[in-house]
Amino acid sequence: MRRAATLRFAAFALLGNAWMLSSDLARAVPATPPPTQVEAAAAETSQMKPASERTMVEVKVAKPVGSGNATESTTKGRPVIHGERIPEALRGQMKAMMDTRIDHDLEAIRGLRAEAIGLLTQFIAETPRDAREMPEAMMRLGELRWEVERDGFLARFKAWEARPVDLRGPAPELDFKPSRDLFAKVLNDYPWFSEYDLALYADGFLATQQGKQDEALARFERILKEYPGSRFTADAHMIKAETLLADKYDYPGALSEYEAVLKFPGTDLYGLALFKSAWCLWRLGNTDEAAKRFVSVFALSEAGGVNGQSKNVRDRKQLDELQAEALKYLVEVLTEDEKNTAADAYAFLKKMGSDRFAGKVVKALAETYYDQSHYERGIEAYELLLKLDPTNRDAGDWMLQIASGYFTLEDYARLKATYDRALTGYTTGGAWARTQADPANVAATTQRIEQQLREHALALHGKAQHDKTSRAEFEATVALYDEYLSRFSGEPTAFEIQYFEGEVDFYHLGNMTDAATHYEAAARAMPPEKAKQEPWASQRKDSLRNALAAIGRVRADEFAARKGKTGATVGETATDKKFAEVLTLYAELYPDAPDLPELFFRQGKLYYDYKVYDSAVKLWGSLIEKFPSSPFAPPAGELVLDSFNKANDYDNIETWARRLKTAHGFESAAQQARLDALIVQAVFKQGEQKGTAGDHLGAAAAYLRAAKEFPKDARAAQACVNAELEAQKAGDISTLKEAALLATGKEYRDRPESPIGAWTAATTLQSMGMFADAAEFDEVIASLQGREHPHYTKYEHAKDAAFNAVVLRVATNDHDRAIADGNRFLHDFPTAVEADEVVFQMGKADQNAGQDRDAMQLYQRYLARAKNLDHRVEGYVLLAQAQIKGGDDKAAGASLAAAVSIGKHRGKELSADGKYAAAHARYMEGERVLARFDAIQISGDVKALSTRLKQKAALLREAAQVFLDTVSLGVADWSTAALYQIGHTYESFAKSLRDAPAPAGLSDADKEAYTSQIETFVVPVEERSLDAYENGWKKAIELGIYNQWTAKMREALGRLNGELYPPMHEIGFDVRSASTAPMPPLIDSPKRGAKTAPAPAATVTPAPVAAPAAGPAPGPPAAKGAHP
Amino acid sequence: VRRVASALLASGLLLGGCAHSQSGPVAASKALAPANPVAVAKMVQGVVAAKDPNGTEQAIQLLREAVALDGYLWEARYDLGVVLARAGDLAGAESALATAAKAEEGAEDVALALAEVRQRREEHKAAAEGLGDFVESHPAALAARTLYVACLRDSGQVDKAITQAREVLVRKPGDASALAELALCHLSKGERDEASLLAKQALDSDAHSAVAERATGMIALSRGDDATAFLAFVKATQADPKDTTARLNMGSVLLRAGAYAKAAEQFRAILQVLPDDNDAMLGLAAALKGEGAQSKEGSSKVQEARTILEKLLARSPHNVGALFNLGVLYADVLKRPADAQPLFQRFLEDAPTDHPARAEASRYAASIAASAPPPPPVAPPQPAPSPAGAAPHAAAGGKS
Repeated sequence: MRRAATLRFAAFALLGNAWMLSSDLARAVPATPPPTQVEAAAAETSQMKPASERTMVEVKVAKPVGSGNATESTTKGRPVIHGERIPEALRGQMKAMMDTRIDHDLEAIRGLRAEAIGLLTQFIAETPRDAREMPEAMMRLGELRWEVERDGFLARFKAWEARPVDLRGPAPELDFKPSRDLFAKVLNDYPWFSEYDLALYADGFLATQQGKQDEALARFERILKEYPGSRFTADAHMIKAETLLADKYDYPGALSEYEAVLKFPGTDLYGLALFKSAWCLWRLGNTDEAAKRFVSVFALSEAGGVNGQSKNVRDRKQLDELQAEALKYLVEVLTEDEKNTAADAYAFLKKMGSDRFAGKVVKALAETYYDQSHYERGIEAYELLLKLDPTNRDAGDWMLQIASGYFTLEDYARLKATYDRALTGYTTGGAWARTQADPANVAATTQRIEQQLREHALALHGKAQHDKTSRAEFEATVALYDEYLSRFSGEPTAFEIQYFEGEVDFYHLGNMTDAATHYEAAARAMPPEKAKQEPWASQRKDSLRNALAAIGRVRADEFAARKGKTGATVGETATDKKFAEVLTLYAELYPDAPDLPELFFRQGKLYYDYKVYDSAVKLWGSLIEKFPSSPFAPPAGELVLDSFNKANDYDNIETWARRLKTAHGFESAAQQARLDALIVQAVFKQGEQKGTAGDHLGAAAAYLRAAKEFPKDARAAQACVNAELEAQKAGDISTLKEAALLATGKEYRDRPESPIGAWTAATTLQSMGMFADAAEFDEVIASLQGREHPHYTKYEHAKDAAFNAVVLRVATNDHDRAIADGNRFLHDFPTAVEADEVVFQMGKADQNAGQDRDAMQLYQRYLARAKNLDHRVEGYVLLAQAQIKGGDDKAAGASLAAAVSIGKHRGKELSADGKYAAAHARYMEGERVLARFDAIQISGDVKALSTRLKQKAALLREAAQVFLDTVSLGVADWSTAALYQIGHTYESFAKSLRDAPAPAGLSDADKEAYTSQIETFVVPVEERSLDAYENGWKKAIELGIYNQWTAKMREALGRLNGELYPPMHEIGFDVRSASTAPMPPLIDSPKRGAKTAPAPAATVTPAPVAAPAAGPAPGPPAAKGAHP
Repeated sequence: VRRVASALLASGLLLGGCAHSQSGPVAASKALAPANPVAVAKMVQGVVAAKDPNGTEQAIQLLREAVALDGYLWEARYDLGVVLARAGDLAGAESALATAAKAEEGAEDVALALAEVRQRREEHKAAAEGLGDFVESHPAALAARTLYVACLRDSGQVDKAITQAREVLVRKPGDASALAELALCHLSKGERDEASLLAKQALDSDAHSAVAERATGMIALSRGDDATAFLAFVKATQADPKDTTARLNMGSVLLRAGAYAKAAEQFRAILQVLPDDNDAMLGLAAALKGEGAQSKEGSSKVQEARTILEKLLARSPHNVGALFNLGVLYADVLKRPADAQPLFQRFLEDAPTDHPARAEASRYAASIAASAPPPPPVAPPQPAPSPAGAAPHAAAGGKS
């Protein structure tokens, strides 16, 4: 065996490249060893040789009988003791004292009796015969002599009995003669004696004792005849009845006499007479009446005699005995007819109104049936008993009696069911047990059930073995074992039952899985100290070997069944799990078993061949861990990896590949390199697999791990990109940034995936509104343009990234970096369409930063080379704005003029943006005229007032002209703005005129004249203002221009002409940013139990990540063209 | 092919696999006792009634009965809150929804409805706090978190709003609503460039996003570019006809521009979608008043304006906008200052102390009071008539 194993291992080791697979892991994972070897190995090891069956001793279980106590008095003739018992020690002392006292009293009685005899003898001898006291003296003497004779007889008998049998001679006899002679003299000589009936009774009694029934009968007949009112009438009838019954079997006669006794209910004989009368009735065939009387005897004895007058121990004892007798005969009566059942008896008792005795009667019945081997009826009686008195402390025993009955009847189905009931209800914790006040009784009952069940199961097992062919018996055995184990599996010896059940399952029923289960359980349950001794030691090993053999057979069947289903996925079956369990236990208990490594390997291989990889790996894992130096360990390791590969379990491929790096048989450089390759590929696959499964966080972590741990691997850069994409899906910004930084780091910059990684990060962060972070990665792409980084230079989004960097930096008000990014863009992409926009963005950045001079220079440089006409106009406006802010008014005028000139002369060539800028420029010119207008103060030197007013009027006209000219450029916004400005300018002028203080030093009359003159000047101006507003507003409404200027004009109209244009005072409709969202929908029905937590939000669909060579680029950046 | 990990993990012999579970905690809804079937029946009837345009009152009644029958029937409380909110009883709605939210802390609709009602009541901080608690326990509830952003912004917690908007975007990159909200956050911080870029990005992400268009319009307005703003609002309305805010903004712009007829069109359009929209009713009334006041034939429009405002006040007696505007209508157009006066008084009682229209209302009230005719003189007390025969009688018994 060992040599064969070594050779097989050598074969595995030599397989080398023949193990190549077609999957991604083909280079790393070995193929299977040659199938012929595998099959051969599998065939050998799966056929474990079982140990021989153990022969059971055939135990004959005695047939059950009744308790034998059915006719015994329940009190055994003793008074019922209530209350505290006398302590035993005190009881002993008292008994000794009492015995001494009794002995002393008896001695005294004997002395007194002898003295009395002497005196009476002397009296009779000395007194005349006809003396009146003579008959009484004779009666007393007769009684005393009878007592002496009785004592003497007892002494003689005792002495006779003490002698050896062969020396005893004839037994001593009572001598009735002395007493009877005396009684005869009284009867013969003193007929006048007042207690003559006493003499008749006494002599009749002794005649009865002497066996002279005729003489006795004659005496009692005389009492009945001659002394009908005698106190001995009842006794006479009783004696007569007994004599008729005993000697002549004269049941009618006896019954008649008993009936006569029953006429004296006060007598002690009543109960016996009742019983005997019942007996007679029964004998006479009147069973119903007989049963009634027996029941009456029951009632009588229960009540303590007639009217409850039974007062002493003797009476009680008699009644008990009588009841026992009555019960015995009642049962006999009831069982006489074989058709009668316990239920019938119960019905009878109920009918008699005596169902309170049913328990006693039915129990007696049951016992009687068992004594008579009428088990079916006995079982029925016990069942009835259980029904009548379910909480009786003996109920468990009744269950056992029922079980015994079924066992005897070989009704195994009912036997099992009965034990099932017994275990459920009558063991500790069961329903019956919970009603019991005495836990010791419950424990004892439980123990009796355990013992009997075990005994029955073992006996049945032995019987089945002996009978050999009865499958039903074996099945019943298993059923009983199962019952036993269901309740008593924790018993110290339960392992034997497990073992025996395994035996039956294995050898007789073919229940291999169950057999394995029980064998395994037997091995596990065997106490360690027992397992060290024989025969237990061998039994435990046999258990495990048999379990393996059993599973081997099951598995063989399963494999055979699978054969026709090639290609189907095979899962780990319960059998596989069981096999691994048992084998594991075998290995734990017998770690040095020489066959173990090979057993593990070949069993695993068998699973492997049938594609049950879980089980295969479990076994090989055990092999590698427990027997690392075994020649079977290396091929097991190879096959573990291949199993995981086939199961696509890359987590475990990585784990095992790492583990095998330190394992025996994998030390060579080639093996180490192969394991390394396997690890990196497994990590990649993990990322792919997790990503596909929706575990994006796990996928991102796996890819990132791959990139970090294997930076030199060809796929490492792609791993970074993949990590980013998975992190994006998982919403894991931290991993996304980390992966992006890694992708754009020195390690990977020369990789084609590197710019993709940067662009992915930039666009993702941008889509999350994280502009500054996004700009970082755009800048990375923009900064790595050049020969050193050809992949970046050639990257399709290089220009977009550079552009986005500018836009994003401007948006985030990062002036310096915006300018730097802009300059870089203009340097790298000077002819790009976006260059103009970049310039504007840079100018904005300058202006935002307050660096107007820089802005001016930038725009001037730009205008010098800008060819786009729209952009030129826009450039001039921006330049003018910068110049105005910078205080270069003249230059600003020139810039605006240039813009307006283009707008006027080449307006048709301009787009909307260009026209907008040109109109804006013209409007700004108007504002500049207004600025000059505002600069001229009305107040001041009166002499120059006219001049100043003329100047202002001229400038006003000029401004109005410019604004009107703005309108002519046809840009709605600036047209309305201009129209408003015209009205506003006139209104302001009128107001300033009116508000101007009158020149100092004027008289009141002059002041009035001055004001009047001003007013005449102002009113036309105001009218022009109103006209301007009105026309402007109407024009705006006509053109559909609704903007702030339109609103301002309308507001001015309300101010200046409220009648025609009522002002708007209303509130409640300010422009708002937040929406008043509609209320969510109503709920139609209760949602109890429905999931309320919202589903995770969908993420932007990322690019596929599987291909390591070149992942598709993410979508274009929002910032491209996103400039405001 | 089966996975092997489970087998490895199950085996105590092996060193252990490295498979791991990714499943996270699942929010479990509170276990509630089965609902009272009678209450449920009432609730269902209430919902059916609520779907009938004329069934609001009945719906409210039925839902109140359902809630009374089963205090734990949070679904009925929620429905009651929604119906009350639709009917303009925002206080009642808030109460019902707050109770529902306590009973069922995991229901996003309840949290959303409660926050929406609080927003409408201008209880922005309370709305934000309620949603803050909700999103903390339900981090994946993006609709709630997006509304949370708006609530934070409205309550002046702009930085916090930005953080929350980013939380949405991290979970749902490129989400147009979140980007637009983020844009509005930056706009309210004066960071117009960043706001513009975000709004643009929102539109790039979803060209039909009404909220993105609205944000674009707001940004344009902030830089005085009314035309762009107006265009954006139009687009928002086209993108989502139910986005009433864009129409409201358009109506507002038109009102201010004096284009009353066009403004009225916008407000009427809103009311077609949301018949009980308070703001649209206010706007329509103002537009009608503007139209009516400008023309000689406009009395019917003025009357319609009055009817609208009175209807609104009947439903929402504390709507300060309606109180003020009806007061203005009575005072300025209908020339019934006596009717205007109590409205301005009520406005002054109900409006927050910092309401911008308080000064104007006070001015109106004072002006009306000043111009009111003096009250009729109080009659001097007359001597009480003497009881007959009680007067001193000179001729009879008098002292002479």
